[in-house]
Amino acid sequence: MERKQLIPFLTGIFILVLTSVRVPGQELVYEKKVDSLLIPGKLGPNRLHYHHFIFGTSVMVPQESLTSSDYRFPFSGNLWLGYRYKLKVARPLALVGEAGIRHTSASVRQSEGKVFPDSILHIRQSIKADDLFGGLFVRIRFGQKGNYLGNYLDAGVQGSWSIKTRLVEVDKESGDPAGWFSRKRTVFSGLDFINPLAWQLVARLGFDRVAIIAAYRLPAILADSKGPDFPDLTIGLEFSPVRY
Amino acid sequence: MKYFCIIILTSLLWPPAGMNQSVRIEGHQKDQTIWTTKSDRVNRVAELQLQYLEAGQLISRGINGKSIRIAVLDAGFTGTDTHPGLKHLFDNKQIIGTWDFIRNKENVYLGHPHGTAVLSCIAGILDGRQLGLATGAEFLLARTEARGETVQEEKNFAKAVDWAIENGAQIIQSSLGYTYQRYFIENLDGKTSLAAQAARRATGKGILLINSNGNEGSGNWYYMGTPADADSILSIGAIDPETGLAAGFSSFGPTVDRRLKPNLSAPGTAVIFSPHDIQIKSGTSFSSPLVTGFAACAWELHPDATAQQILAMVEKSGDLYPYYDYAIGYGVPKASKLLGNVYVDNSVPVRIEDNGTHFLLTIREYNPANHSPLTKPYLYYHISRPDGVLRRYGVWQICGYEPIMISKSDFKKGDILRIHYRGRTIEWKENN
Repeated sequence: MERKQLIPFLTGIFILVLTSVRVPGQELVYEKKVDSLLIPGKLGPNRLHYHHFIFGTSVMVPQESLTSSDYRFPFSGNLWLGYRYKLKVARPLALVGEAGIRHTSASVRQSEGKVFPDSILHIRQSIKADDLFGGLFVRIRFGQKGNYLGNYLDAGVQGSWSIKTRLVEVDKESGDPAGWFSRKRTVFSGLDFINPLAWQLVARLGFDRVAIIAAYRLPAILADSKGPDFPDLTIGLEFSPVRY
Repeated sequence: MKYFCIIILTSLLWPPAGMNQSVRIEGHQKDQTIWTTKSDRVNRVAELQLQYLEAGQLISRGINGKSIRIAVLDAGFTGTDTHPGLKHLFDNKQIIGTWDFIRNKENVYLGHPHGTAVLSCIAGILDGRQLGLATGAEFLLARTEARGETVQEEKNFAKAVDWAIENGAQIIQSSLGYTYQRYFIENLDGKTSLAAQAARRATGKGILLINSNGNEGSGNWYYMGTPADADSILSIGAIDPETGLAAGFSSFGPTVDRRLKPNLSAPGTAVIFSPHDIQIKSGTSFSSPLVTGFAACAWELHPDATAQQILAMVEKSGDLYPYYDYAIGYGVPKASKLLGNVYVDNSVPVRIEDNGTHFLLTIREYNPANHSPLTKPYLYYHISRPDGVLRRYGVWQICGYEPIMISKSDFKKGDILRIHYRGRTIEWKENN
């Protein structure tokens, strides 16, 4: 670098260093504005409007014996994640709407004489579906008043549409007959024997952040009775991660 | 020329250093202290919890709440009858009466150990060192809560207040607080809740009720619980003993009818007794009993005073008094102010000017050599309506002589700007 270029360069460095030196200044630790506070809003767990995330899990409850049903209990069930909105219409009464995504997995029992979805005995075989769901409910709230979810009973209807279905099979590798060391996993997507549209009646008994949920599905999941249908009844737990 | 412009442009865009940087700090945990052993930290916390109240000035005069009867209402007293730090209460027959309102029996030494922790902050002695200021007081112990603040337990609280009145209590200490599970924010008017109504009965009978302000400051509820909203009681917030600022969890005021809450504050991290041990815990549950002990000492000094006179005395002992805000009230009560051992300094540490859109505060006194957790250089300010209700309040940490600009955007005709700095309060009104 030439001398006449060096001088402005050094001057710039000097200015940058000077402006970087921290001169002790005053720090605002906190500041609170009061006038806007203490005005009751319309949003809150027990106010006119409220919305929050939900997630849950349930298991399919077979109508026949737990050990002989076509789908293994308790390895067949659902997981879901969704969002819920509540509109308070009267002191104990509210309307609830929700939407989300649900993952269903039905583990097919591998026993002699099995014909659906095939007659081969696998290590594991599951029919899986990912659905979008939506629901409408009536809520009756009971127990203590106060600005929190409290205890409630929801009753309503939930509909769903399958966006992805697959059959997953786990088998032994041909060179490893016992299947101890290596297994192969095969996935068949786009199952044509699953009805994409389903709906169910749902009841929920909630205790603040936790609810016991029971759902009874009305239409068949398997199209044209291609095989033993999934159990109609599912029972599980749902969680509302509400912050007070 | 080209280089010159680049240099000037770069230096203008470079982040400015110093000069009133606005740093909003949540939780006020700026200073991290590393402790080598648990006992070091216990000693440190135990020292601070009474040092803030200048307890040494009361202890050295033998003032310990003697003959003052304090009713402690809590969720249980497991360990109170066995912990060596509270043994002196039994040896000296200072436990006058007990009642369990859950089971309607006399034995209260069961259930939650929270009451033991609270009692240790009023009258505990650890290795010869006091953890509370009222080691000589008499006590009534009432268990009112088992499952966590339900309707029945609020009714039990009301019954326990009546029981304390009947048994001659002068002070009621409660760390209970009912919030979203029972009420809405708009119910915090000091009249609506069962607990606030019970508190009003107590004050009507000449009893001083001292209650925790609550630990909802960092949650959606944000405000005090009830009965902390009741009128004519002392609701106590918490400060972080390492910084001297409001603890992040401490609930804020005011009440829905804009009364000042909390009234005062005290260290919200304290050494407490658990059934078989000592622990360090945080919460307004432990700042409130520290002030209960202070109030008992005040009453011992002025035995003919009424409860409301003691309340006023304790409020005036606040280190910020007459300044106040809705985070820590009048500040932490100091024994020196209670005893009248205060040096009056009439010098003005801050000059206030009005440039139309802002107040310009010029710092005149700054001495970093005096910095400690108890004397950190904070400048408190609030903008108050003529009736005393605050519009805005804040705290600046003073690091030098840089001036401070406070916006006048919400300052209306008749409002007052108050500044508290280095133990002095300065007011500014229009036409000053």
